[in-house]
Amino acid sequence: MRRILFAAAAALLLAAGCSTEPSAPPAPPADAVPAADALPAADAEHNAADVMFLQMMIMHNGQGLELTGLAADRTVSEEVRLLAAAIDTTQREEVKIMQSWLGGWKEPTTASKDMTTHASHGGLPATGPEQIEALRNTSDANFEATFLNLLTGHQNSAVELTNLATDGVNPQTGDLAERIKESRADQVAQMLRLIGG
Amino acid sequence: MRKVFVYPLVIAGTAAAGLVATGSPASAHGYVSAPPSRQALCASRAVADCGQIQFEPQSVEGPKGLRSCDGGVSQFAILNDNSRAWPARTVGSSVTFTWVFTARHRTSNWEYFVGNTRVAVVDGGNQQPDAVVSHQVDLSRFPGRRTVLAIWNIGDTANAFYSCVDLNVGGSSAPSTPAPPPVRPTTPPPSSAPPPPANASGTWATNTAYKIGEEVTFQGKRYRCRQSHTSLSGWEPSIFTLALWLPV
Repeated sequence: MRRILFAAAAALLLAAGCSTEPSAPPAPPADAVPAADALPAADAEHNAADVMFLQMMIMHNGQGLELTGLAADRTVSEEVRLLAAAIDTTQREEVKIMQSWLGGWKEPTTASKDMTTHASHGGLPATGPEQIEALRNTSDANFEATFLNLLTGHQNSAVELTNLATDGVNPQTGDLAERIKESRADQVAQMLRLIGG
Repeated sequence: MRKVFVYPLVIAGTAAAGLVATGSPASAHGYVSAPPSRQALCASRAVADCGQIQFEPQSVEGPKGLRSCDGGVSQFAILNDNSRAWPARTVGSSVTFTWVFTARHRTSNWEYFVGNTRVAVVDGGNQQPDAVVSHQVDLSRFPGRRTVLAIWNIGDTANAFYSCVDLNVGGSSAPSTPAPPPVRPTTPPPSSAPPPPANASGTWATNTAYKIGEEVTFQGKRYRCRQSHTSLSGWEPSIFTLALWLPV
């Protein structure tokens, strides 16, 4: 049963256009340090759930990087600046890791935008081009509050996405998903304290 | 068995996104972030031991028309538990409520209740919400300790999202300008970043402000910080966080 469903899911994924062009994340902020040379390796064993989670997470991290990239150029408190920079750096590193695993498995590294929308259960996702544009156009006075609200929703959504990995079989993917769940939930906690005062 | 169907459901969204939206009660998607709602207080860990809601404050979804803090979701019943002594935010008589979204459903309207009295309603125009949604609500008729129930009524499903916000209304008069997104208080929130431990080069710990060059011990190994940050769980030194910590 399970095997058949995964096979069907994989086939539909391909039909849905998984190999759309990756959206290039914005350039790293000037004070970012270069990522480490060595990327952690993943076991060969994997299934459709591992692949879907990694594809979705790469896209989700990419959208988050657009938000943090905007924060790098604006006036925000030191605490928010550091949080945004650390999220930027870690998510950029995660993208490299996840792409390298998918590449090693000969799987596409991108999910279609349609898939992202559908994963939000029919609603538009938290962060799309309109929200990123709105943040870009937000006045300095309102930037920090808008940024924190958008990124909070975005990271809430990342915690949800980690549920996709529950049925995966690749141990490194499972480990990464758990760390993503924890780190995003903790980032949300930090940001809600900043938003709510 | 339940989880096996997660993927087909997501796939089914290709053809029937609307069905997925109405058929999936645990699906996300919005809550009041400021003043902090009960689920926001759980997610920020200001209130401890909340259970699953701390990981999905956006998921308090139930049929329209409820007047409960938990949206009728039994696993979130803690949100109805007034014995938890939810901290009440002191506010003026006019309060700006701000929402966080994880999915931007078409919106019928937003409603705000104190008890059974609807104190405000804001038309959503059956449109997707803006990047950030804030509403200014006049609570001058309701001074003192109050629980405001904020409701996001979805336009294209039978459901709504519920947030209870505990307030102490009537500290000072609020500005009458149209609702801007709230700005950060001028004083830093006390709970956001506990001071670093006296021994900053000791064992790695969460909620600690680490600076570039600082060293920590984690599971018997030494690491040097290469990106200043406040630590959190999931960001401990590992092969996944080499951007933050390099082995020494």
